Amino acid sequence: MRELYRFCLLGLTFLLVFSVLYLLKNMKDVKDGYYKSTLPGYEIYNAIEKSKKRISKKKLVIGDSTGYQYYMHISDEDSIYSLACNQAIGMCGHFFLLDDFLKTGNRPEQVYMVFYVSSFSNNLDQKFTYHYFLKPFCNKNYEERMSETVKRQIEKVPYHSLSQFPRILTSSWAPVYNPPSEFHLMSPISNEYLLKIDSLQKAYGFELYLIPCLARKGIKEWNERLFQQHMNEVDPRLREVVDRYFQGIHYMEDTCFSDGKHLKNPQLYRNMIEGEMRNDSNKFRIH
Amino acid sequence: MIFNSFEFLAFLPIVFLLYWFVFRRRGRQNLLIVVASYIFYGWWDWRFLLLIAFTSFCSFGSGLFLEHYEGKRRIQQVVSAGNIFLNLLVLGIFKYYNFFIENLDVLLASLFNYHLDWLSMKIILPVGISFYTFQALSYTIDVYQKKIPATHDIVEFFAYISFFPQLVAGPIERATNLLPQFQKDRMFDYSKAVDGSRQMLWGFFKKLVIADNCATIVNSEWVHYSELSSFGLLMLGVLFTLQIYCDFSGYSDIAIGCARLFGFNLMQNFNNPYFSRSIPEFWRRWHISLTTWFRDYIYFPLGGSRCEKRKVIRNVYIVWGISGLWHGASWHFVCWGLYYGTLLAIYNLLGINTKYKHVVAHGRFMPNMKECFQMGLTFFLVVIGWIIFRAQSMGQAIDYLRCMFTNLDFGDKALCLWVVYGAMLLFVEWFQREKQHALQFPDLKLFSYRPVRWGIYILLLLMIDKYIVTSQTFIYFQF
Repeated sequence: MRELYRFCLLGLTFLLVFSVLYLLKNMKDVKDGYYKSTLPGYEIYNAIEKSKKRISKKKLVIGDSTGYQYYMHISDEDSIYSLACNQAIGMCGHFFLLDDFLKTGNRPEQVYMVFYVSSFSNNLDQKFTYHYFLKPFCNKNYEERMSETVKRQIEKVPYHSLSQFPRILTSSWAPVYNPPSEFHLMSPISNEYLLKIDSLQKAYGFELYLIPCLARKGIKEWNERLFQQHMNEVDPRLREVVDRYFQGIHYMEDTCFSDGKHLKNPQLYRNMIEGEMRNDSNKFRIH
Repeated sequence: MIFNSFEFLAFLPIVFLLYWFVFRRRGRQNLLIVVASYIFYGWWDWRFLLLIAFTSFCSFGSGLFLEHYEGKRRIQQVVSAGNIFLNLLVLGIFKYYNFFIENLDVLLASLFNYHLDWLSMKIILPVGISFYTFQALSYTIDVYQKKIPATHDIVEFFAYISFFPQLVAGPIERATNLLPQFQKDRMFDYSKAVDGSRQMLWGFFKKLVIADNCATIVNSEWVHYSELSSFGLLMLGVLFTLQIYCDFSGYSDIAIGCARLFGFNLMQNFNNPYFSRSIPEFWRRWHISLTTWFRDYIYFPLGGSRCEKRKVIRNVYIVWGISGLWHGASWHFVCWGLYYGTLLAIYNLLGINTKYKHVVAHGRFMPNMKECFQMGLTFFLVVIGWIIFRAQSMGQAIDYLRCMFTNLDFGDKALCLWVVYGAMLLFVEWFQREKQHALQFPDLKLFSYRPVRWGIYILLLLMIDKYIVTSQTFIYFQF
């Protein structure tokens, strides 16, 4: 028995020593922040960092990965600044980015929200929610700005409370999360945070535009049916805006897209949509 | 449950503590092992517990019958043949049924234009079925051959068949080695437990750092192998060679180490196979438990090598054809077996099949030129074998090898970098080749200091943590 106790005691001591060193290493990793450029969702950390910079540009883009693709190669001389990243952060995440950008002291004159039609359905219930939303946003900087709807939704994600644990935060690990998909045209979280973005517009007085991304012809009928069937999900205060958004979608040949959503040539978008914006900027304007 | 899972991380300490602190008597410890092993296996799919219980029960019963009819050789033959038939029937249904129907379908379709596809079924292959079936067979044959007496304790027999460290991928234990260990009282041995823990750590390192990372590259590159150069294809083959070694020997190290924590000694399954100087030596060092099983239960009863040369060659081909089929219900596995059958037959005809029983460069630091050449040639032949093994079909294997010898180019050098990383492991194993595993430290004063040893363990754990990729199951589970 003495040998057994000795083995257990030494094993526990080793585990303790290892745990302390391991914790220190992971805390150092968190402090270094290198993980922010290597993990899935690195574009979110990039957008968060950009949202906290003082910028003199007067046009701001927020949006999903299609919006990110359109404004990926803007130069320093360009008048546009982009915080577009990925739909997986939900409208709540986009609100945080815009809110931070404004709180940093930036005063854009025009804010363009560039989204693909399916992005509004995100209710923070996707398999990437852990990487893209929980890890970057579930911390003290953002938690007080989260609504009850968001908090309830987060609690459904397995191991949500561990997302800020140093080892998990800095690793590419995420729990398997594939909840039964509940279809929305406009999810409760999107409704709520679109209205919050709208209230930011009122507070800071910029022009706000909701601009649709190009979509492939193959989904036109599906899109129109979706719009008819699910319009009642949209908050009455947003219906007119969403209606104009749907009417404004340009449908292109399927061959223009690399994966059904993202364009092979993003210049197509800038030629079409920005051309329309120059002709009639009120077409997509919310306020 | 697999070793590289969070569940096992909790399961092992719980079973260990219960085993040594709560269930301290042999009978209770055996019962705990059965319960723990069934939880371990049932975690994957509880329905197949019935199958393992059936196999165990039949073999246990056959042992009792063999003892009961002691002296009546005819009845004993019927009993042991019946049990062997039952075990092979279960294995045949779950592993080979669809393979058999598909081939019969092709044959009948070509001869009579008649199809049997209505007979094919969706059958899930139970994890490790070939391993525990062979272990059960070894008991019946050993009792029949009077190498061991039949056991009367059903719990210890169930524990022998289902012992969780080696249940799903071996080492395939013999009743003569493992069963008596369940029949003796076990005392906790500190040095054995410490060495077992080290061996487990080394196994995890090989599996999680080397094998899983090699697997990521091999899986992504193999799908477009025809676009790779000769050099790239060779390097890809070498990467798979490293992957399968680290995967399977890693599992064996974890299994053997884990068993030592509970006071059991499992047989060595790998003994630095890639430092072999000939193919026969390679097979004396690779998956030793299976090779010796085939040797003792098939090759020797067929006459082994103590008969005329023609029959020896026939025996070699029979054993390796079966060995190929054991690895998987597919013709390319059979061809893989026959490839080794051919190589071993050549070595046999040359009369050099029993050379090289000691570790290479025994007592020396480095091998000589001749040994280097022999090891290089053997390694190359083994790589060719693993390419046949890894291919999806024999057609793909031939096409891969054709591309490897015809796409003459030295492109795809990026793969070479990964091979260098993997080769570092072999470098470590070279210096430890006379030990059971790489973490059995040499007798140097440096390693007598605990902080040095702990530093090495911590370094390995941090490397596992850094290089761990999405968990991959062990290759040999499918067999």
